[in-house]
Amino acid sequence: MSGADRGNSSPPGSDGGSRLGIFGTLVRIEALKTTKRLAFWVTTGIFAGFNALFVISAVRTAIRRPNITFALPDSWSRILEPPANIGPFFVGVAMILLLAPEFSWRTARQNVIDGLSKKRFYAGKIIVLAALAVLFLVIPVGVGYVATLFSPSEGGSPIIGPADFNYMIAYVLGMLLWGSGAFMLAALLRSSGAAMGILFVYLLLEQILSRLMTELSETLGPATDFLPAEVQSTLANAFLHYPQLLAQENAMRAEQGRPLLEFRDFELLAVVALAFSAAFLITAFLSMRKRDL
Amino acid sequence: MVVSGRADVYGEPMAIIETFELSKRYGTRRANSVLAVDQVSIAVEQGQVFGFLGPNGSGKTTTIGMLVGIINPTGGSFSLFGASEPRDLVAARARVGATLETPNFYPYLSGRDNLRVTAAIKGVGQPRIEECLELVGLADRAKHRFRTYSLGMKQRLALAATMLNDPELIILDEPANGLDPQGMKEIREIIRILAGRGKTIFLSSHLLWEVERTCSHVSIVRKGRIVATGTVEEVVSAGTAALLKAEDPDALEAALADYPGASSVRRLDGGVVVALDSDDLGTLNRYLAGLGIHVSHLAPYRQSLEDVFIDLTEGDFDSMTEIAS
Ligand SMILES: Nc1ncnc2c1ncn2[C@@H]1O[C@H](COP(=O)(O)OP(=O)(O)OP(=O)(O)O)[C@@H](O)[C@H]1O
Ligand SMILES: [Mg+2]
Repeated sequence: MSGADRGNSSPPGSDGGSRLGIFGTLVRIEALKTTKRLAFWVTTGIFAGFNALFVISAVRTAIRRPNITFALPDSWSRILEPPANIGPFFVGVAMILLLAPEFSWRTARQNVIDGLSKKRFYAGKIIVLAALAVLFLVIPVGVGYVATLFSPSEGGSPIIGPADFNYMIAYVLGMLLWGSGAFMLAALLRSSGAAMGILFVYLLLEQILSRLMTELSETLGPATDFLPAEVQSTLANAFLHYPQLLAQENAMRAEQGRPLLEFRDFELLAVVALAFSAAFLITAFLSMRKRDL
Repeated sequence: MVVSGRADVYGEPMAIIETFELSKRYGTRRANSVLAVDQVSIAVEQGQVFGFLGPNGSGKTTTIGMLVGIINPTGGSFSLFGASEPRDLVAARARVGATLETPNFYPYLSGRDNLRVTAAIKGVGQPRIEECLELVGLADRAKHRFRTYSLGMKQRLALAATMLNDPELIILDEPANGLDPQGMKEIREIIRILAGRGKTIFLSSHLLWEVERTCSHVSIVRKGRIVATGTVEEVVSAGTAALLKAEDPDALEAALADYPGASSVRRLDGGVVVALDSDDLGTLNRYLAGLGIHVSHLAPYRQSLEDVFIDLTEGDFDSMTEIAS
C-alpha cells in the first residue's frame, strides 16, 4: 500500500510537527489567505495614505515656515500621534475582515476538517493580530522616517529616544486592545457586518456609559479612566509620553486659567490594556472551543 | 509495511470509524432543541465503502461533522483509527480527507491557491496539488477564482482537496450533489479506484442508486436513528416482500393495508407489493381468501435498496407529496 505512506507521515499541521514547524505552517497559511485579500490591502492602503498625507503636510510646512521644524528625533511625537489615535481602529477593522468571513464562508470549518485543530486555527489568527500590529507600526514609522529625509529641518542624533519607544509601545498596546476586542466580536458574532457595526457603535456606547458612571456615583467616576476606549486614547496621547510637551501645554493652560492636564501612570494603563486584551482573547477562545463550526 | 488501522494488538480487525451511542442535540433549551443524531452506533472497517443513507434532515451531516471535529457531540463517543482522545484525534484526522455539505473555499482565491491553503494544512507539496487538479479535471481552470466556479466545479475542487494528502479514510457528504451524469460517473469511478487501493470510504447520500452502485455496506438513518445496517445485500434481503396480483387491485391494496403483518403496501404497475414482517406467504394467502379476494399472482419479491429505504423512512416525505398534490 504505497499510497498510504504520504498519509501516514506526520504533516506539520498534525501533532507530529515541531513547534517551529507548526508556527511556520500557520504563518504560511495565514499569509496565503491574507496577501490576496483585496479588502485587506484597501484597509492597509487607506491607513498608509492617511499617514503619508499627514507627514507630507508636515514637510511642506517645514519648507514654508522654517521655524516649525520637522526632523528626527524631535518630530516622533508628531509622526506617531495620528496613527496612535486611529491605527488601533484600523487594526480592529482588519482583524474583523480577516476572521469573521472564515465563519460565513465556512472555511474555518474546512480548515479544521483538513486537519488544523480549532486551537491551531485560533493560534493562526493570533499570529495575524500580532502581524497586523507590527505592520501598522512599521507603516507610520517608515513613512514618517522617509518624509523627514525630504524636510529641510536639521535633525539630531540618535534619531530615536526612550520616550519615542514608549510611545510606540503604547501605540502597539492600543492596537492589541482594539484588535483583540475586534477578534472577540468576530469570533462571537461570526459576521463581519455585525462585528464592524458594534465596533463602530462601541465608541459611542462607552461615552454614554462613562457619563452614566460619572453621574451615578463618586467612586465609579474615576473608574471611567479604565474603560477600554478611554485607556487606548490616553495611551495614544503624546502628552503622556513627553513630559516637556505636557509642561508646555500646562503652562499655557495655567496662563489661560484652564484646568491642567493630568495622566495616570503609563505602566498602570499598559497593564490595564494588556488585561483587557487577554480577557477579550480568552473569551474568543472559549467561545470558539465550545461552539460548533 | 504494516498498515496501521488494519488490526489491533489482538489481531481483531479494527474499525476505522466506530461510534458508540453518538448523539447530538442542537440548542440548549429543551422546548426548541433538535435531537439531530440519536444514539448512533456504527462500525466502518478497513476497505469498506460505507454508505450512510437517509432522507433530508436525518442527521447525516451532523454525524459526519462530529467525526471530523467541527461539531461537539452531546452524548456517546467515537473513535477514528482507534483514537478517541482529543489529542490523538487531531493526529488521526491527518489520515482523513473529508468534505462536508457544500464545498467551503476562499471565494477570492483561485482554485489552485485554495488547494495551497489545504496543502499547507496537510503538509503536502506543490506537485501533488497539480496531480489532484489534473485528476478532477480542473487543471485548466485552476487559476480562476473559486467565486467564478460552477457548482460542479466547486464539488470537483472539494474532491481534489479531499485527496491531497492521499488519505486512508475518505469521508464524503453528498459527493454527487450538483454534478452532471458524467461527473457522477467520474465520482463513482474515483471511488472504485480508491477502494481498490484499500482506502476506506464513508459517504452520505440520499441517492439510493448511488449507494447501491458504489457501496459495499450501508446504514440507513431516519430522524437521527439507525434503522438498518449491514452489507447492501443484507439490508436489501432483510425485508421480505411479496408481489400480488388480483382482479380488483384496489380491494387487494385495501385488504393488504389492514393486514397485521404488513409494514408497507405500494402499487406497482399491474400489482401490489407488500413488505412483510415474516416470509409466511401461506398465512397471507389465507387472510386474503378469508376476505374473498382471490389472487392471480403471489410470489416473493426482491426489493431494491430504494424500496427498503422508502419502507424504513416512510412518513418523512409526506409533507413534500402534500405540497405537490
Ligand atoms: N446548526 C444547527 N442548529 C440547529 N439545528 C440544526 C443545525 N444543523 C442541523 N440541524 C438540524 O439537525 C437535523 C439534522 O440535520 P443534518 O444537516 O445533519 O441532516 P442531513 O441528514 O445532512 O440532511 P440533508 O440530506 O438535507 O443534508 C435537522 O433537523 C436540522 O434542522
Ligand atoms: Mg446533509
